[in-house]
Amino acid sequence: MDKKVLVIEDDPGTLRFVEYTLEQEGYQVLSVTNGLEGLKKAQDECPDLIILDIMLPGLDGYEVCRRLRQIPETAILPILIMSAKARQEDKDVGLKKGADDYLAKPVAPAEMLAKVETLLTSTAQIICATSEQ
Amino acid sequence: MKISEEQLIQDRVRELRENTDFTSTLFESLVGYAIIAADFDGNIIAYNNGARQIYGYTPEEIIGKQNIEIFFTEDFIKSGKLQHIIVGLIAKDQFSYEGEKVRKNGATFPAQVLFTLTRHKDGSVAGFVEIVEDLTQRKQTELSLRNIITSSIDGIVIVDQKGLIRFFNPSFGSLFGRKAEDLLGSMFGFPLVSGETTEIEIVRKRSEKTSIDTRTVEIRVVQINWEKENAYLALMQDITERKKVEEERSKLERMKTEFISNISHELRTPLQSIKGFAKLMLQGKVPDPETQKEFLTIIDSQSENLTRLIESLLDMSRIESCRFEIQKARLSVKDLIENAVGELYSLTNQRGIRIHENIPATLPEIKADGERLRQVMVNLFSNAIKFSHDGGSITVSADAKDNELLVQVTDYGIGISEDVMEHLFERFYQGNGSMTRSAGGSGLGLYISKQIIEAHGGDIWVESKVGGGSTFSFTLPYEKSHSEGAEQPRNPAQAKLREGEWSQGRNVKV
Repeated sequence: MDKKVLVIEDDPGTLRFVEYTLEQEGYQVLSVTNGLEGLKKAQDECPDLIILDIMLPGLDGYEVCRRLRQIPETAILPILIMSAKARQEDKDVGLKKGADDYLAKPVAPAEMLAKVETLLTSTAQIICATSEQ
Repeated sequence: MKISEEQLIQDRVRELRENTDFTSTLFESLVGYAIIAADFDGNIIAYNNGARQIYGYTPEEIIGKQNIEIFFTEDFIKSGKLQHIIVGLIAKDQFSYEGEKVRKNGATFPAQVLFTLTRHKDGSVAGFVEIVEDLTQRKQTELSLRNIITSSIDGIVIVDQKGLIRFFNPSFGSLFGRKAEDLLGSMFGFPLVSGETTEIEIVRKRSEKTSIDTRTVEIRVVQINWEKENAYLALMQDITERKKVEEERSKLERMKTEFISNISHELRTPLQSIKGFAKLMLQGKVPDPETQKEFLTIIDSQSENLTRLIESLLDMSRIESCRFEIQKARLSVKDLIENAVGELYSLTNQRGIRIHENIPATLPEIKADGERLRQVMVNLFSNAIKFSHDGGSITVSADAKDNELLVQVTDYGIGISEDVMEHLFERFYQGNGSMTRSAGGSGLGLYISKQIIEAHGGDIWVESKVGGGSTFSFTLPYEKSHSEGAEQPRNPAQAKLREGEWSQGRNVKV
């Protein structure tokens, strides 16, 4: 079965790029453009991984990350932050809020795919809690 | 025996001579002091070098003579103080006082005076000796020190061990805004530690007004001896203004850091699309020509975004280094606005936003920098679009009034809160909240627009209500034909009138 990736990103260009790149590699992509929808989709759709932007309208990426970690269903879901906030402090905050990895934009397709693959392999054993019910 | 008697006499003579030498050496070497001895009748019998220097008489002029003026001034005698001295002298053999004396040339000088009665062996009065110290120098030093203390900008206060104020200078008094009689002897009220520098806040009550005013004061404390007691000397410097400047500077520093971080974000976002799609295509991952075209279109528009952002940064740099210039030419305001609206067509179309124009056909031409004004119009329209609801509308109106052109752009979107409005035209400022940040922008648009309008001699301001939309307005002066090319002076009274005429509700004048 194809791995499902949820993309939470508000910049249309970046979103299109991520979607296209992942789909080319056979991933099933779900996308939303704000944090609140992202939280909802993450619980409803049981994705295998989330690609998360930081500067989002409403809830920002850090907050989305923090909340995802508090929800049992998404507590161990791999989260890859992909943000134009590129300072070390920004990365530190992201990782502290519970992200598994952090990529600073601009990201090359190969770089992004490699990270996605690594995160999925290392958490391959983890199955979305809701899918078992 | 004879020898020893002779010896004794010789010894005694030597002794006397030595004694006399000693006394006269002492007498003459006390140059800082005038020593004058007189007999019972007031005839001067001894007069030292010090006296000569202080009074100016030669010994020849004075010895063997009576000179009442040398001892007492006329005023002194008239004031009845002489009586006082005589009583004191007879009772205690000595009397001292501080007062004025007169030199030979008639000049008076402050003096410390000591009278001593001399007596014969039988105890009867032989005469008296007067010793005078000229205090002129010391008084001058005291005056200079007092001057330094009273004119010191820093407050100076002496507080005793009990915490009571024992001395203070005028600056100290004005720091507290209180009168001397209220302060002297009252509790200082702040703990003082010798050798320490502390900062305190003084809340000052203005007696006439009810308004209070808080000053930040830096206190430096040293331990001193004051009237034979341990006490504290505190120097108090009003650092309110300095603090304000420092705070302002660090606020600007913070804004700059935030600005750079924002700019970095704004530069990286379009770069993601450019780099991402370019790599995909180079690696042959986009075989479909239609998709290729789609991606190239995104790359193209993001390159435009980047270019605009870089132009804004360059404009800011020009403004900062005062190299910002405008080049004026005659132009039609209607054309200018319509071109700007046309430029943003794809953006408004995409979100279903309509722009209503309300520009009279008769609007006269204006002399201005067309390219710069286009920049202002595009900025105001972009903001209006950014903060409008999908399917909403924007109104642009232009009108000529008196000698001015007024242009207004109104949206019916989310509006601006008052605290944001205050800072809207400041450089680096971006409205807080992720809504405005995610809406993008360098935080420079309105700042640059303000500089452009002001360079034309106009004003720009905003009126807004949260949830009720915003109106951005600017004016440009029409130049009179006889002063063609000359900048119209900005008249504050006129600006006030303008504000009153056109602004309703909350507005921020910039």
